[in-house]
Formats: sequence, structure tokens, C-alpha cells
Amino acid sequence: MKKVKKILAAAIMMIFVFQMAACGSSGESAENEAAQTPEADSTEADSAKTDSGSESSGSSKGIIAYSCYNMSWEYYVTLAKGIKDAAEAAGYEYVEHDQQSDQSIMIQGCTDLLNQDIACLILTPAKPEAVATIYETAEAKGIPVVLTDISTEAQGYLACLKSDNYEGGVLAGNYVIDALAESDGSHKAAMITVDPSNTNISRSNGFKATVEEAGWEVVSELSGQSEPDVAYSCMQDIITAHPDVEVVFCSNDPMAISASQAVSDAGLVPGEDVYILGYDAQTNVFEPIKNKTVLGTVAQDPYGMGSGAVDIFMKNLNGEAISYDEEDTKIIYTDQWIIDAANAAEYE
Amino acid sequence: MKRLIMKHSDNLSLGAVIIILFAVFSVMQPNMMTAFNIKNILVQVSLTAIAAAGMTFAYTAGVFDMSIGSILALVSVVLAKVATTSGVFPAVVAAFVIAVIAGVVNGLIVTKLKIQAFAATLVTMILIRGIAVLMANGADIPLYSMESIKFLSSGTIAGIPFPIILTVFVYVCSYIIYYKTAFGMKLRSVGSNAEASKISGIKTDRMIIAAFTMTAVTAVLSSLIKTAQVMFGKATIGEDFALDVMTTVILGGTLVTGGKGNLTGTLTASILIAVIKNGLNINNVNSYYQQLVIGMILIFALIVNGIKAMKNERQIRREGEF
Amino acid sequence: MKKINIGKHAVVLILIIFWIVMYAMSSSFRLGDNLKSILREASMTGIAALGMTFIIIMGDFDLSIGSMVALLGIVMAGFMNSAGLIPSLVIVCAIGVVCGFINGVIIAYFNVPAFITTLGTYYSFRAMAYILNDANTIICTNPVFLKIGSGSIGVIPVPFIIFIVLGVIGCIVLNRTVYGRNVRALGNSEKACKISGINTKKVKMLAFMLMGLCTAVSTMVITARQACASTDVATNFHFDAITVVVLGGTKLTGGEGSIFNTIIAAILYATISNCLNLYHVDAKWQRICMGLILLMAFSFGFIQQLIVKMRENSQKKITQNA
Repeated sequence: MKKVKKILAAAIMMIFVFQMAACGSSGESAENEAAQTPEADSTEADSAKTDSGSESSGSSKGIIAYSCYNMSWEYYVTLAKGIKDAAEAAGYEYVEHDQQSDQSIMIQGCTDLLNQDIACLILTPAKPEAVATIYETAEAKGIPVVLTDISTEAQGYLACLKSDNYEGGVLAGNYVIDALAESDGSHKAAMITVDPSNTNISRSNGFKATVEEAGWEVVSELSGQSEPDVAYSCMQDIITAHPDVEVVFCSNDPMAISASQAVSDAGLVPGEDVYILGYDAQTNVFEPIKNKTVLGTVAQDPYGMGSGAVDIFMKNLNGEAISYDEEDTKIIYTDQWIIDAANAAEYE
Repeated sequence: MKRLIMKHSDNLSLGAVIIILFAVFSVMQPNMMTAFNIKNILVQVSLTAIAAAGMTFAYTAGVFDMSIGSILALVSVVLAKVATTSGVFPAVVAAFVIAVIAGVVNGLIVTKLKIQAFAATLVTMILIRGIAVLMANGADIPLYSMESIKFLSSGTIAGIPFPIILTVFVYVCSYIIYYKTAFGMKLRSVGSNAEASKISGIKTDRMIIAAFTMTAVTAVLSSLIKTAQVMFGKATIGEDFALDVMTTVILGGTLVTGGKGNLTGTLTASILIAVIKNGLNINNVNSYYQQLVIGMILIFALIVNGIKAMKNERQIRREGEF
Repeated sequence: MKKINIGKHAVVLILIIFWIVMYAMSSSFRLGDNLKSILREASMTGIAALGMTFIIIMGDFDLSIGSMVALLGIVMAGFMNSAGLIPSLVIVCAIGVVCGFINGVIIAYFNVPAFITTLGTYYSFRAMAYILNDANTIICTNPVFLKIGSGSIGVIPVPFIIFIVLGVIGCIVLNRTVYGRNVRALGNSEKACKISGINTKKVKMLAFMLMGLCTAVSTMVITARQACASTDVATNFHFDAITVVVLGGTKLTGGEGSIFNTIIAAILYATISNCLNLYHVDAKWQRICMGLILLMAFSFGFIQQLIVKMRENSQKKITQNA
């Protein structure tokens, strides 16, 4: 039995080495198996793996792939749509990859995509600090990378399209100061943020700096971990600790909606006793905004980010120059604005 | 009287810790002692306590269920979808149907495929969450202002919030089932010695399936309250729910090896954990410290239990020598 | 006895068939870079799976390795900038052993079941990582270090070389040393071990310390690949490692197992994952796929029994007709 084991092992090793040595990093164009065949029922032992994916259609110029932080969030679904529409309009095939908020999946998936010699990788990294190896592989293969929504410190991308999160927080802060300048409330604010996320921390910092400058006091800062039920209990505890809190800034909409639920469950009236702000302008928040339970939200332009990313890729392909908002970090900012009850109807 | 205290020493010591912690937190933040806050704590308690009651039965039978987090998510999504299209009552019925199916499937995998509880529920955990994510298709399903669903989380009967009443109801039923019915006795016997139970005629397979079903049903009750709190159907909730509930049950003194469930302990442990989380939140402490505290308490409690078990063993051995 | 026990090494057969099929069907699969990528990914989980094999053969689990990776990563990255490469690698191995020691002591000497202990350390280790580093990420820039994760010697990725070397050592320890024999004996029957004079406590402790060491090496490779250490890394690591071990045919009930199978299973697992990516399978379906594969792996025992029964039945029929 030992002998057979050794032979098997040697055979497998030989196949590996032979193939790797022969093909190396050849630029063989990948078959574009873009068919999303659910393989739920196939087992490896049955060789009944029917390949129902179509061969690459001659009309496609290549694949533009989008690897995203987490495709379960509406914001990114919109971003992806922006990329998809622009890519297909330009004659490219669109492929999606979901990192499921896991950095190992990010690295593995992007490496696999790059190994298939795609035309361009558009990336929203789950862990911006871990992208160095992705950039290396992309450079080795000559595949351009465009970042959307989240920037990285490491260089290796054509451009980064994002909203200025700090400015977004400032925008929210200024809105609150203006809207509530006349009120005789306590001028106390609290924030429900998402702790390890740089995006959310920038937003909170922007908000905090702005309102503190205007004389408000930020009494509490808790992490809602981007889970509505955690945000719910955070809101409850904020009210308990500071019953006179006037404004709560939540760094995304689902948390804002739960927070407003918590306020009303506590017997207070959201929109009168406590004002709540969200972020992202998700579809679900429009109803509460119109009902005045949520004061407003900071809208971003994910669709624009997505189509802008494809534009950058095309410009680069055609040799055009790209203009950045920040030269050294190659960041291009997309718009942000406040949606409240006054203008909710036009943006829905 | 002394014997009574000795018998319940575990639960009493948990209770003592709760009171001490509560006192400490209240000193740091006086608003802790308000009726509003205590009500919040009790509602938070009910979220895990209800599911923990079911899980206590599972541990008693010698199994456990890691998939309740995924069941939570699936029920949340289904509830939201069905409620917005067909109404509240069909939604709740659908939720319970899912609970029963999930429990039976878990039970069947364990009994018929002869796979251990850990492995079986690991698999169903992944599969059920996959189904939930597929059904939600990337969106959060809002329930807007369905008042009838709202009642599940914030409605009150005679001034007491519904979740608390539900918890009391569940625990009363659990006590009765556990101590006063033949079913409870059979469950305990299956947990302590499955082989012997089978020989004496107890249908162990059915007992195990029943245990899983109870766990699933209580998980669904928790899910109803949670979904009603946030008024959203979300496929990503409950990632840590199974571990939290199991921690609660273990902290409460139920034996993992089976045969001896401690319902009082489970309830006390849920209160303890809720008090810790609430106290830290109110004092603006990062949630990761909460995890550390809970983890350390778990380890500490287990070490103490372990020492006690060793002392017991030694005593039995000594007594047996004479 | 030259008869090959196909049943025990079924996973090798599956891997070969899988590779042949994929080779034929997908030109992207054949790319050298792709194969390198598979081997690299296999090593990440595989190294930890080596240690987990010992633990599962012994009849226990270790749920805390993901949190260990977080803690060890932060410690290592922290020291690298001040103390240099080699000292930090030595330190991380030492602390890995210490973490394993903590697990081992509680499990072996305080008699707390492994499942619960590692549940407690699952919470505590990660929380400690947070306290040390406050949810920030430490970036590693040492180019030699980075080679450990993303580099290759010739055409073989460095992590894979480390994996194979450790695998060979593990194989020798498991099959050729007294310790390995003790581990298997312990998995079969703890009572029998005690009677025959084996120091079960030491065996368990050592196994968990070994697990800590394997996790430390895994941490090195993972952190090098990602070029950064953060506190939210490897949240499903324990799940992947246990899946790989079980996929290799090692039974969760313990008593038998093979390091060789674990290595093959690690490669298989990485291959499947790679193929799902190559075919751009939706993430939602990927999860369900993995769950079904796991179910199949766990059912190996059941399927084997079925086959045996069928053979018996057909033999009975033959003798009846004779």
C-alpha cells in the first residue's frame, strides 16, 4: 500500500511540474465561460460535468471583471449595474465576483480572474491593505486595475473612483446644524458607526468634527457592525444613557432605519424627539424619509462610479490622459448630496 | 435548607454575579437602573433565551444544533416576503413550517445518515444560509409599517412587552415538558445513554428528531421577534447566533455530554450575558471587549465546573473504596 | 498484503478524476499560473489541516484556530518591524504553542470538552487581538517575508513546499512514532488508553500544542500572502480546516486517519474552489455547492456501509440459489 501511495503521489507531482514548466505564464486567451452554471448537483466522482457554457462569442472584446466587497448590499448592486451597462455598451463581457467580506476570498478570486487574462479588473477591496499581491499579479500580466468606492494605500491602479467619505460626514454635519439651528434641543449628538471599516470611520470623523466645531457635543459612539439588530440595541442603549440626545448619525441606511424603529419603540417620536441620519440612499430609506422618521441620508453615486470606472479603462486603452481630483493618490471623487423629505420624490 | 443551596449553587453563583455586575454598571452609569433600560435588557434576553431553551433540550438529548443562525436568516427572509404579499398569518405559518422541516432534516441526517450532530448541523448551516441568500437575492426586504408584525417585538400585554411574555411562556412550557412529561424523561435518558435507552424500548431516533425540531421552533420564535424589531428581512443576520446561544446554554450549566439540562441556568446565563452587553454599551465600551469578557467568563465557568467534577470523581472513588 | 484499500484513499481517486476532467474541459485550468494558484491556496488551509488531523483522530475539535491566526498575525507583524524577520517568526511559533498549551491544559487537565474550550478561546483570542491592536491593520513590507506567501522556488509556490515538508514530518509522526500510535489509540478508546498506562493528558496537551504550531506556520503564510495583519482575518478558518480533514476520509469519531489524505483533500478543496471561480459561479451557489460537498464527505461512512450491505445481500442470494 505504501508503494502504491508513493507512485500516486509521484504521478500527481509530475503532472503539476510538467504542466507548469510547459505553459508557464503563457498568454493563452481564456475560454469565456461566462455561463453561471449552478454546479449544485454535480459530484466530482460522476464525470457527468456537462459544460454548458458557451464558447467565447467572436463579438466580445474581452472581459471586464468586477470583484466586489459584498454583493449582498444594494449599494454595490447598483455600482455593479453601472459597470455592467457601461461594459456591455463598449462591447465587453461582464463578469462578477463576490468577496463576501472575506479578504482571503478577495485575493483568491482576483488572482483566479487575473489568471484568466481578463481585459480589466475593477475592484472594491474588502481589505484595502491586502491588495499588494493582486497589484503584482496584475502588473505581471499587464492587466489594468481600477478601484471603486474604496481606496488603497498601495499604488498599482489606474484610478480610484470614490466618494469623499470625510466630506460626506461634513455634509451631514452641516445639514444637521442648519436644520436644527433654531431648535431648542440639547445639541447632543451620537453616532452609530461600523468599527473596523475605514469608510465608515471617515464619515463619522467628518460628522464629529463639523458638529463639534459648531458647539455640539458628541456623547456616544457605538459600533453597529453594519447589522440592523445590533444597531437597534445600540440605539436603545444610547437613549438609555443619554435620554436627551437630539441627533444620531448612522453611517449607513439599514442601521438608520433600525435606529428609528428603536426610537419609536422607546416611546419617543423619531423626527421630533430624536433626529436620525443615514448614508447611502438605499431604496428602503425613502419611505421613512417621506414619513419623516428618518431625517435624511447622504446619497452617493454608485452607478456613476461604476460607469466612470469603465470610462477610465477605455480612456487608458485609447491612450487619453486621465484627470484626477488628487494627483498623487489618483482619486476621482464622485458626487454626494443630501436627500431629505424635500427632495426625496425626485430621487426615488 | 443548606442542601437546597448546595444543589442550586451553580445557578445561585450566576445570579450573584449578575447582581454584582448590575450594581457596578449602575454606579458607572445611573441610567442603567431605569425601568426603560431594564425593560430593554429583558427584551434582549428574550432574543437568546427563547432559542436557548430549545437548545437546552437538544443538549439534554446529547446533540446540538449549529444551524440555528441560518434558520434565523431564512425565516427572516421568508417572513418578510410572505408578509408583504400574503399577509401576516400565512407568514407566521410559513415560518413554523420551515422550523419543522429544518428540525426534521437535521434529525434525519443525524439519525439516518449516522453523521454526528456537529458535522450534520455544520452542513445544514451552510445549506440553509445559501437558500436564504438566494431567496433574498441581494436585497433587504422591508416590512415598512406592518403594525401586526410590530406587535411581536414592541407590543405589550398589560404593560409587559410581548417578547418577555413569550419568554415566560416558553420557559414554563419547557419546565413542564422537561420535568413532568414522559417525553422529557425519555429525552434525558437518550442523552445520558443512547444504547441503554434503545434497549429499553425508547425510540431514540424519534427523540433526537424531536429535540432538533424543538431547537428549530424556538429559533424561529427568536427570529420573529428580531425581524419585528428591525422590520427587515435580511439574509445575513445571525452569523454568530448559534455560538451565542450555545455559550448561553453551556454557561448555564447544562452538560454537553447530555442527560442533564439546566433550564434555570440557561435563563440565568442569558440574563448575565445581556447585562454585560448592555452595561458595556451604556458605558460606551467597544463591542469587542464584550466578546472578550464573555469568552473569559465561559472559560472561567468551565474551569470551575471541571474542578468540581474532578473533586466529585475523587470523592466517589474514595467512598467506593470502603 | 498488496491489496489497496481504495476506500481509505478514495479522495486520491476523486482528485485525479477531477483534474483529468477539468484539464480536458477548460483551457484556463491548464494554465501554469492557475495550477500554481491552486497549490498556493491549498497550502494556506492545508498546513493548519495537518494539525487538525491529529486532533480529529484523537476525537476532539479545535474551533479557535481562526482567532489564533488573528492574534498571531498581529503579534508577528508587530514584532517584525522592531525585532526583525527571524525573531518575529520564532516568537510567533512560540506564542502559537502557548495558545495551543492554553487549549490543551483546559481540555486535558480541567476535563472541559474540546468543543466548549475552543469555543471560549474562539471568542477570547480574537478579542485579545482587538485589544492589542484596536481594529487597525498592520502592513508588512519586508520583502523576504512576503516571499513566504507569494513567492515560488522554480515553479512550485513556497507555501506548498512548506506544506509538503510539514506533511511528510506529520506523516512520519503519525505512523512511525509511539506518539502517533498513542493519538490513534486515544481516539479509539480513552478508557483503554488509561488502563494500558498511556498518559492521556500529555497526549492531548501535545496534540493541541502541535495544532498551535501548525496554526502559527499557517499564519506566517497567510499574513505574507496578504502583506498585512488584521484582526478580522480567517473568520471561517476552522471550518475550512475541518472540512479538509473530513474530506480526506478521516472520521470525526476518531481513531484513524491519514495525513496523506489530508494533503490530497486540501488540494482537492482548493481545486473545487478554483473551478467554481473559473466558471464564474455565483457566490450564492458556491456556498450551497460547498455545503453539498461537505455533506457528501461526511456521508462517506454511510455510503461505505450501504455498499457493504449490498454486497452482503447479493452474496446471500448467491449462496441461497446455490
